[in-house]
Amino acid sequence: MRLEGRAIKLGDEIDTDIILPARYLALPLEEYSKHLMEPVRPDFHKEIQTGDIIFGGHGFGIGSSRGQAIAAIKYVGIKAVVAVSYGRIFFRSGINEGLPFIACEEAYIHTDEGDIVQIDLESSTVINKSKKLKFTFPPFPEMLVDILTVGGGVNYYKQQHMHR
Amino acid sequence: MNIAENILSRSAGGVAVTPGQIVTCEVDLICIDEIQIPLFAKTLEDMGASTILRDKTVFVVDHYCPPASLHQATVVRQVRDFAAFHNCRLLEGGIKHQLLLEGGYVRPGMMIAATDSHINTCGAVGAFAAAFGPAEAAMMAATGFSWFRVPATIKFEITGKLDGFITPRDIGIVILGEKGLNFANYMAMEFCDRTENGLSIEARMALCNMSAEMGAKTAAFQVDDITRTFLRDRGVKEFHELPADTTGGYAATFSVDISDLQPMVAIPDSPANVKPAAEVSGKKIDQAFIGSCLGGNMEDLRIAARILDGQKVHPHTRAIITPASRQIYRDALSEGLLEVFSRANAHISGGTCSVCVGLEAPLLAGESCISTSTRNYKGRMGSLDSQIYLGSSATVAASAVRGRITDPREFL
Repeated sequence: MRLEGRAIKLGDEIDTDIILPARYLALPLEEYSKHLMEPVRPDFHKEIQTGDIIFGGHGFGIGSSRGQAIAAIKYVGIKAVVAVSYGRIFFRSGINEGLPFIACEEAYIHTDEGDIVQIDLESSTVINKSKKLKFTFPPFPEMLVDILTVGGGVNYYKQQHMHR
Repeated sequence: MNIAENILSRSAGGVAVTPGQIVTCEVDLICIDEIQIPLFAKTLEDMGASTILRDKTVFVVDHYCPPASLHQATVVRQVRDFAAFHNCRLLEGGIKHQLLLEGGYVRPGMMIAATDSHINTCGAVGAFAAAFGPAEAAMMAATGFSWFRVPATIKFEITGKLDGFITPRDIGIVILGEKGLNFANYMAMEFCDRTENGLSIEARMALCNMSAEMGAKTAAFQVDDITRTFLRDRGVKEFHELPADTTGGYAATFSVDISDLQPMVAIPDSPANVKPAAEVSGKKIDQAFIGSCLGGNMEDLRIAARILDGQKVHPHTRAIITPASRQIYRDALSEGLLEVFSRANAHISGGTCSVCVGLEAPLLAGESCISTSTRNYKGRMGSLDSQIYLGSSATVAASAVRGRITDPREFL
C-alpha cells in the first residue's frame, strides 16, 4: 500500500473535542464534517484536498470514542495520518476505516504544511519529497496490514465471512 | 499473569498472552449509546449483517435525555427502534457505566466493549472494559469477537486513609499531575487497595474512570470482599472468580499514599494541568457542575450536601447538580440531599452526560466553570473562550457557595 499527498500540519493533543465538538454530533455526516477541527482551524473542511495527509503531534485523537470524528476525516478526503502518538480508540478507528495511522515522530518534526509526502506500508517509510527526506516507522502487525490492504474492517469482515 | 492478561487469555480461548501480542478475543458485553447508533447501524448495513448477538448487546440513552433538538430526538428514536427491532435490552435513566454496574451487568473477569471512552469505570469490580468506535462495536455485535493488542500493565498500590473533604477524585488528579496526560497510553492499569478502611466501589469507579485521561486501554481493581458485597447486593450470585494469584508481569509498580493529600483542581485546558485548590482560590466562577460518570454518584452528592446544607449558591454563579442515575436520584431524594440542593438554589437534573460534554448549559465566551466532570479540553463545554476547572464535589460545592474557586476545607 502506497499513497502520496500534501501535508496538513497540526499541533499536539488534537483531542476529539477539537476534531469534532460534541454539539454537532447529531447532525448528518455532510453537515458535521463542516465543523472538523473548528476550534483550531475553522475553515479546515474548505482547505482540504482529497488525498491530504494530516501530521499531528503527541496524543492525536485522545478523548472520546466519537465515531463521527473519524467519519468526518474520511469524508473530507484525508487519506492518512502521521503522528507522534495516538489516543488508542482513535488509532483503532482509523485502521478500521482503512486509513493508515502512522506513528513516526521524526517525520512529524521535519515535515511542514504543504510538503508533498509519500507513505509506503511495505517498506514502512514516510518520504518527504519536498525536502528529500526519508523516515522509517515500526512495521504494522500483519493483521493490521491485512485490514488496511483490503480497505478497512468492513471489507476485512466480508472477506473472512466469505472464506467461511 | 495480571488481571488484564488473565481476562485476555481466557477470552482468547486459553492461550498464553504476552504484551505486544495481538489476540482475537470473545467479548462478553457490547454497549452502544444513542450518539453512536447512526454509525453503528450503518456499519452493520455495510457489512451485510442482518442480525446482532442479542445476549451480548445492550443499548443506552445517556447523552440526549431528554433530547434538546429535533436532530437529537431523531437519533434517540433510532436507538429505541433499533433495540426493539433486534430484541435487545435498552437502558435509560442514567449514564451507562453507572447503569451497568448498579444493574449487576458487570462481573469480575468479564470482557466489556463500549462506544464510550469512560467505560474503563467498569473495571471497579475487576472487569476488562475498553472503548471502541461504533464501527468496531458493530463488528463485535455481529461476530462476538475483536482483536486486542495485549497491553503492558502498570500497578498502583494505594495506601493510607482519606480524610475530611479529600476525595478519590483528588487522588486521580494527583496521579495525573505527577505522571502527565496519557502517561499510560496503550497500557492497562491495575489498582491494589491497601488503604486502612478500604476504598468504596464509588472510589474505585472514579479511579478507573480517570484512567481514560491517563491514556489507559483499561483499568481494574483487584477483587476483594468490598467487590463481593457490592455484587451480592446487586443480585450477582455467581461470577467467574479470577485466579487467586493475579499478580505478576507488571511493567512498573507505583505506590500512592492518600493520607496527606489536599483538595486539587485541574486548570484549563488539560486534566493533567493540576494545582492545589488553595493556589487558584479566588478565581471567579460563572457555573458549577456536580455530575457526570466521574462526579455524580452518591458519595459525591453526600459530600456536596454537607457543604451546601443551609447555604446558598452565590448569586453570580449557576449551579447544576446531576445524579448519575435514577437510582442515585432516588437515594439522594430519600436521604434529603435533593432538598438541600434545591434550598441552596441549585438546578437539579437527572441521569445524563450532557453538561460534561457541552450539550446542556453551554458556557459563553469569557465564562468559567468548575466541574466534577471528566475533561476540561478547550471548548468542551461551549465557547472556545470559556474555561473549565475540574475538582471534587467538595471543591465544586464550596466554590459554588463563594462564587469563586474555594478550598473546601474552609467549610470543615
